[in-house]
Amino acid sequence: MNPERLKGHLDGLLLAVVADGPAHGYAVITELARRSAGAFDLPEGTVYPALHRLEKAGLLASSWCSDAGRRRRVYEITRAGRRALRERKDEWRGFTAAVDAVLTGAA
Amino acid sequence: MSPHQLVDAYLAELDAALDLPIARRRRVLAEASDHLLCATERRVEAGEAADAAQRAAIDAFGAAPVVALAHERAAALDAVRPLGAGVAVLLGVFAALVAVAQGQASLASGLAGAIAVLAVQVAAVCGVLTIVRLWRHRRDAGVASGKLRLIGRGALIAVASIGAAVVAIAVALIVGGDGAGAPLVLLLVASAAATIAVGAFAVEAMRRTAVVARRADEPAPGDAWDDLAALAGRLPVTGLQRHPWRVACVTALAAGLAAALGHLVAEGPPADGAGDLVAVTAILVGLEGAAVLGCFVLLGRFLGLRRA
Repeated sequence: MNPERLKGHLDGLLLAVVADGPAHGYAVITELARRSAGAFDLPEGTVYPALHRLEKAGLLASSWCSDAGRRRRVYEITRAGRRALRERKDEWRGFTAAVDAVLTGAA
Repeated sequence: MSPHQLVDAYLAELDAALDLPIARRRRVLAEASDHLLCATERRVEAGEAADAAQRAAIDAFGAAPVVALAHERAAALDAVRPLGAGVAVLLGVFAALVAVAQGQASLASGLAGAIAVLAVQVAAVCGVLTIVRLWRHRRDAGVASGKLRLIGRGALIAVASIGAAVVAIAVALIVGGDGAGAPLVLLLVASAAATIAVGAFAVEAMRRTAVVARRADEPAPGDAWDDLAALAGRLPVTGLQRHPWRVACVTALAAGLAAALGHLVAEGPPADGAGDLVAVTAILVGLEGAAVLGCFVLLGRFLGLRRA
């Protein structure tokens, strides 16, 4: 799938993955790839700016921890992040329902 | 010898490609290192050879220039975003300064007064344009670097014109020697401090956006009419961009008439009758209109008021 199609949706997808529990960047990105069955073919390194942006917006929080002698940044969702995720899910359901209705002529 | 030579080489390449503040760069490199080592380990556990695992992890992570550009774009956006609030505060402090300084005899006429009048208008147009553009893109994480540059330029010109006016007012007060009360001195100091602070942010924002603009291959960012149309919703401003010079002439005439009306209200009608009224109005409309058109000629493309 063209990564351009992800524009505007990546933040919601990342929030959904991190909402399941704290995770470091690699775990977040591999989980995103697993859930999407690899449909979003974008360079993994370009996902980190989105994580940083969500943190700056107060939707994620992060802290350094040490694992097997390596420093790693662990992200977790904040209360504001859960609220934002709920809003994005509602928006997405409304949008897909409308598109679906048009495409299938169901209305 | 490191068991992760390819990853180390990639990290060195990424380090060289990144143009970011030190703390941000360290974090990016630490996260990239952890990511690549995790990915390599996972692949080795799955049976791949060490070198092949490193190469595959690096390929999936993305070419160093691409990853660096993504981070630099985010840094540029972070540098530009605070300019809206900064410019709004600066405009507010400067407006208070102009309001308090208006009664000073040394500013009533002469160069300082003229600079202040011109600066108010240029700063107001550039400041409002900066705020409008930032408002339009407030939730947009993928703002084109060209648009970020226009926002930075608007803020920079607003800051520069206010800085020039603050200096002119301060010099006029010192040279004029008509004394300045505590509120005026306080507002002068506050305006100078706000100008320096917002100016520093604007310069940093310009530097960050220049880094991205150099590397990113993007289409032209559009013009001010696109921003106004997006903000105004259904207002019929979208067709105006086809006639930028007509719009500039009408704006210049309107600004001139507003200046003449303001003068009439403040000073009252001329004592010598209708002939003088027409002459004063014509002079003010001509001066103000010429100033507006001059600014449009000088700054039109630089600020994206008309398409490049």
